Amino acid sequence: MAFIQAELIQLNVQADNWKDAILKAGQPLLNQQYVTKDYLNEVIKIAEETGPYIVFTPHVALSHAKTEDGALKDGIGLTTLKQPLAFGNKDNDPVKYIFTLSSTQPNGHLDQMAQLVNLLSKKDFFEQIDQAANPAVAADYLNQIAKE
Amino acid sequence: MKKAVITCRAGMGTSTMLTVQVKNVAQKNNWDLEVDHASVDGIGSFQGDIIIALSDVADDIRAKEKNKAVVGIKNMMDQQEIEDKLTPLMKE
Repeated sequence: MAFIQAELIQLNVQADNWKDAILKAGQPLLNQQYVTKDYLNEVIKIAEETGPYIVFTPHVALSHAKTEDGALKDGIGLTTLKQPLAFGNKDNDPVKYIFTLSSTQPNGHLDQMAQLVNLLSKKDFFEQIDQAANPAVAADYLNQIAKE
Repeated sequence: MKKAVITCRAGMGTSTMLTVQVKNVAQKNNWDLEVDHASVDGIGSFQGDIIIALSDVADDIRAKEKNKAVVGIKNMMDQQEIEDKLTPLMKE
């Protein structure tokens, strides 16, 4: 299975605030029944209760909740924001890149997360994504690197 | 050998990524460290030495687990930060 599907990628999305950004980033997963609406609301609830730790490195968030919160099938997506937004994480704000994760395995997928770590450690990652003309181009780049 | 558990609210996703990074750092430093990951709900039964999480989650855990070493990481992609924060604990 490819690392990421173009149908789950959105580029230059306009969002009003971090909650709006989480919901908009999750929309393709919702539309294509990777997750339920409850799942996206749970992502927001977790961030409200525990803090915006999902912003795990400068400018990048991983939107995810538990399998039982409404993950229906495995998938990973990416949404970039037209205007970066503050998520309330003083070390890593503002956020521009939101990876969306749905995992039906309660322990997650180690291989998939190792691929994501590998991707983000590439020096040209942000540049390549910023320059991608459309989701298909971004998906090709991400899947190429993920194979390495 | 020391045992660490890496945690987040969901028990996967950020904690799984952080597990990958901690393993990378442990390998680089030849640390004898067993690494597992779990959701925050499973932390109460953890018998090992070190609990590692992203900063916000670590702050929550620190309030509850007063007898264990809790390490909070701000930037998961910064292997140097992970190394700097774990090194003193690995020497104990």
